[in-house]
Amino acid sequence: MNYPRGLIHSIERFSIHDGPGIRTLVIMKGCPLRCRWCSSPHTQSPKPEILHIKTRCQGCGRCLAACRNNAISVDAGKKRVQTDRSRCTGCGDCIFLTCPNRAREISGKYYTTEELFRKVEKDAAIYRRSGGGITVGGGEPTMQAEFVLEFLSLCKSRFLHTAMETSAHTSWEKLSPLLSRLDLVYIDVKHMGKKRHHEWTGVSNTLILRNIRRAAKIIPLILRVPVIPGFNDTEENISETACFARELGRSLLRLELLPYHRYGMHTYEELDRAYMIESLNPPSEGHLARLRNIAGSAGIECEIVGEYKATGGENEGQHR
Amino acid sequence: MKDSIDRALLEKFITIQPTARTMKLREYYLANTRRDYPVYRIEYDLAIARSMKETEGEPMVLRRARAFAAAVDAMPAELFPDEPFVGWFAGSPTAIPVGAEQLGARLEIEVDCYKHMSDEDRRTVREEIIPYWKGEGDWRRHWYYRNYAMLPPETRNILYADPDPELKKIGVITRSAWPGMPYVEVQEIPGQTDGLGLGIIIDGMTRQHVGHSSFGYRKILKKGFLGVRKDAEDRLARIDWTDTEDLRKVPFLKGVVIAMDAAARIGRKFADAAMAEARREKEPWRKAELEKIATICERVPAHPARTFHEALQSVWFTHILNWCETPITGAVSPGRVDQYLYPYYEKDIQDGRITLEEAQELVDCWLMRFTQGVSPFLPMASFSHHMDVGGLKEDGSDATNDLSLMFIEGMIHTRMVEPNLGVLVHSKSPNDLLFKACQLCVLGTGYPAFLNNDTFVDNFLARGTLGGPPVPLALARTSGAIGCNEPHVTDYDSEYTLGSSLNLPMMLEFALADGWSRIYGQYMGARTGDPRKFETFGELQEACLKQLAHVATHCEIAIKNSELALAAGYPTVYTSALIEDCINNGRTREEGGARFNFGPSISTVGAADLGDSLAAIKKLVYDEKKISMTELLDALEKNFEGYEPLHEELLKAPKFGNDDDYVDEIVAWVMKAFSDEVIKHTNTRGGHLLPYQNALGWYVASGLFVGALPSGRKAYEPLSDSISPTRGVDVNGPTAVFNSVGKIDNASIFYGQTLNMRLNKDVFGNVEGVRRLVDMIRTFVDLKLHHCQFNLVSSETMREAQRDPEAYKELTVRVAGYVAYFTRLGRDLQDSIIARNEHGIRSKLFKI
Repeated sequence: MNYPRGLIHSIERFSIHDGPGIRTLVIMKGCPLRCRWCSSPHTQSPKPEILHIKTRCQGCGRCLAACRNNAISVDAGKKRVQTDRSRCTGCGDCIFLTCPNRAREISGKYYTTEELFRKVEKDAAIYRRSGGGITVGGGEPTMQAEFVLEFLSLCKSRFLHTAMETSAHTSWEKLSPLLSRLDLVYIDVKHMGKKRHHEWTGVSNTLILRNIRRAAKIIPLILRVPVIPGFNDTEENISETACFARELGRSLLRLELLPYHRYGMHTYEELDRAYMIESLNPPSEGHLARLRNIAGSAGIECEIVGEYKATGGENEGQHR
Repeated sequence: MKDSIDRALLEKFITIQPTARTMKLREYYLANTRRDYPVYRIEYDLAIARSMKETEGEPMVLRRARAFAAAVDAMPAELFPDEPFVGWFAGSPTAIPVGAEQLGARLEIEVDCYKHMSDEDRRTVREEIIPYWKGEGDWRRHWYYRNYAMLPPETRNILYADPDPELKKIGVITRSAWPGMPYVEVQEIPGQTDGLGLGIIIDGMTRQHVGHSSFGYRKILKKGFLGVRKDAEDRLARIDWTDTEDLRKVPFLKGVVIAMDAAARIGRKFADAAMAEARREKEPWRKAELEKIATICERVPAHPARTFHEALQSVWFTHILNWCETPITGAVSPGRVDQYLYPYYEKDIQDGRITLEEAQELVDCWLMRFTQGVSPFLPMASFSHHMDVGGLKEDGSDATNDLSLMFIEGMIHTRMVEPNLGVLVHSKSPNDLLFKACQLCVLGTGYPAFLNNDTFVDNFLARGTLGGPPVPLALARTSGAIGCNEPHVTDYDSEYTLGSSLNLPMMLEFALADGWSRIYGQYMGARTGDPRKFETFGELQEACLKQLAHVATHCEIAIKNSELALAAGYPTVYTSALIEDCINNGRTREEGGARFNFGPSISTVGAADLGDSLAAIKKLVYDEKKISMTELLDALEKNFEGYEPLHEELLKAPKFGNDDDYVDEIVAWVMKAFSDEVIKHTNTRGGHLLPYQNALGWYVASGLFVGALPSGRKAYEPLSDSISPTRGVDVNGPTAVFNSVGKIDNASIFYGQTLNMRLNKDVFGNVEGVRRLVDMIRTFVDLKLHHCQFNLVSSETMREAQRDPEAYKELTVRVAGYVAYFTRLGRDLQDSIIARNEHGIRSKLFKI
């Protein structure tokens, strides 16, 4: 039997914001979108990658000697180590018994479905007590649909509650079998405007919105809007999103607003990538409350989820 | 201490509003109880010294009884405003007894440095009290003299790093910095302030009297001290004066009569004081209350209690009288208060004598008394007055009642560092108890301790005959914990927790060095051979076991010596009278007169460090063969200097607390080996020593004696805190920690092990977080753990994490679909999270 392997970014236990109860969140690696605000850029590439944690790097250069692909150079004067990403294959030679400062890590590990299941079933006791289960997110789970399908089937065969977080930017043929193995799905609606959606994510929203309509016929769903100031945080967009949500009927449990956060900024540094929206601030509490009320007055339940920085001013969070 | 409580959350959780009087008393205590240094009183010490002087030549047990009676009669009977109860540990809310006998030579050095002591008292200490115990200059009267003299030189060397074959140091009785012992700034002068050194085992029995027990409260509630006096008189009446064994019982029984009589007398003293105060009092409500207090004190503790107020006062008297017998003691624990106080509360409510609010006020004011005098001035401090709520009844049903919730409510109202409240949870625990307990927890007070009553029952039953007769099921269910979290057969056991302590990682150090101690430059461990010749991991394990057996034997010798010295030099009469079956057997607790005679412990620290180290060696040296033993030994010797990449690989090896079977199974093996070894050793009272793991604050100091470890820990850094994973390595969340600890056979670690955990404020510090914690506690019960206790991550913790990121790798910020590790975030983000934390801003809730 051919066991598919999945590339996993991380397995986060005690997840409380990604489904009911206390859950384990499996974060897949690989995503077809390139959202400008992405807080986990190391889940975008479908290959293992090396993270270079510059705050720990002492510039000793041991990694250079170990690298089989000549991908590392050292600017001895500035004690700075540079990684040529076009040459780096993510093999990890620069790490084992090499880096003395834990300044290099591999992001992305392969698991078979059995191996992954053994990891996630460790919290069976707390799932039972809290009504929790497994959530598959990422990255984009549908990019590894075959693996995720087999994994979810395994979870279901053991009576675990399953949820998935997806962009829904994929074919219905790939998406629908996954939905049939889920108790709940979270789908993002990043922007109702096709053009604007494309500008900030790299893809259009046509497929996504169509998939959402079809999904709503067969599974409970929660729509999420990552609230990005200057992009989608206008009253018109939220209002339109809420109306779209209302039309989905009773499957739509609620709309969730996820305030933009900057917890992932350091990861861009670690990947030697530029962060596109350097100077953006999270939305203010007052503004989020207003958006929530707008959604609420469109007749759907709307919640703000996750931490956000408390502010005083109403105008904070505007894109400068 | 600054009260950094989330007020909005506090208001949500309070169900009965604390009264104005409670709040007034709380403010008074917080503002006025000395925070820096204790206030010392000498009444008891003076009475004891004088009495002991007068009674030279009498049997020791009678002398102790008279000394106790003298101390009780010397107890000041001062009343303080607004308090519905009377009596303090040493006369006033801020005072403790100086503990002259226990301190010995150390007091000579320190008495002039105590900040809050009257000059007259200082003079009395110097001129009268110290000279008595010092005698001709060699402190021969001190019970510790006998102990020290009787130790074999090899054990003395293990204890104090000096065999001292000629007993040169016998006049210098050391005092170490125990929890509850005050901080004193003494200029250390060689030749004048030298104490005994610190060896490779720590003796836990000489720094304070043993304490660590729970006894007598039920008996005095039911019978009063005069009732117990009668028991002793009846027993004396049955003595067969021609039977040698019976004759041996007479001095103790006579002593009990004297002690119980004295204990009964204090009620009258306080009744008179209360009446005098009442006559002076102008406020009508307070005048009436003082008259009521006088009536209560005429009744208790001499006679059985009848009302809830009387019962609380009776228990309080029973408790504080311990300090008249042993002025420095610890962990004397009120135990299962919601069980034995309930009948009095229930009757009062039914008869309409008291309202719920009045009962709650009494509980609040009573609880606050346990903090005073001993702890507010110490950071971690306390004498650990442990009390439990919840739990099981004799028949196995759930024991939760109104008082269980009211005591938790009282802790929510008063929020002080004592008492040490435990909540006994089990498979049938009701939601209201769990929710209330978790509410108290998420307020960030550090309380309660969650204790698994189901595991306690397994624990008692598994002890078999290690303490004499097997513990019956009914007693296994109704016994709670004492001190920190030690399961204890309430009212029937002569046991006390602290015996001596060994250092688990040190066993590995010795195994890797053929018994050589690098720190002391001599062979102190067993000779187990050259580790470079060990061909298998199993051989290394065998060597560790041999080291353990060698050191544990010295622990046993130290404990036995101590016990014999105590039995001869400081037998207890008050305590023994209250523990069954001492009066019937006519023997003190120290002589094994109780029904059960377990303990004390050989305790330990550093199981996680040892487990992590063994796992690293097994993986890298034996399984994957990537490092040689020679390389490893050299790296440890050099504290990893020049071996940085090797150090990294050791740090990356599996660590306990992450639900990784590879290392967890090794830690389980460590604890089993430790437990199996300890119970081989015996005490002098007819029972066996029991295993215990609770570092208290010692995991920092213990680390100073251990060099670099294969777990990656650098030389002299702190060890892990009991069974809590090494700080910063548990990166898989609290349930992974539970799973890891759950792989240990917790019921066989008979005195328990402590699991302290940090909870994220954003996950738990809100209403939804209470529900999550309840789910976790039920999982804790499912997994058969023994104990867990939580601190919420404060801004101070996060600031510490900024300073020492390595130790806080596991700190997370959780948002939807994302987990950010705090120490990986940029500095200004960290600052903003801290700022948010300080303003108590919480995430919005989402409904499921």
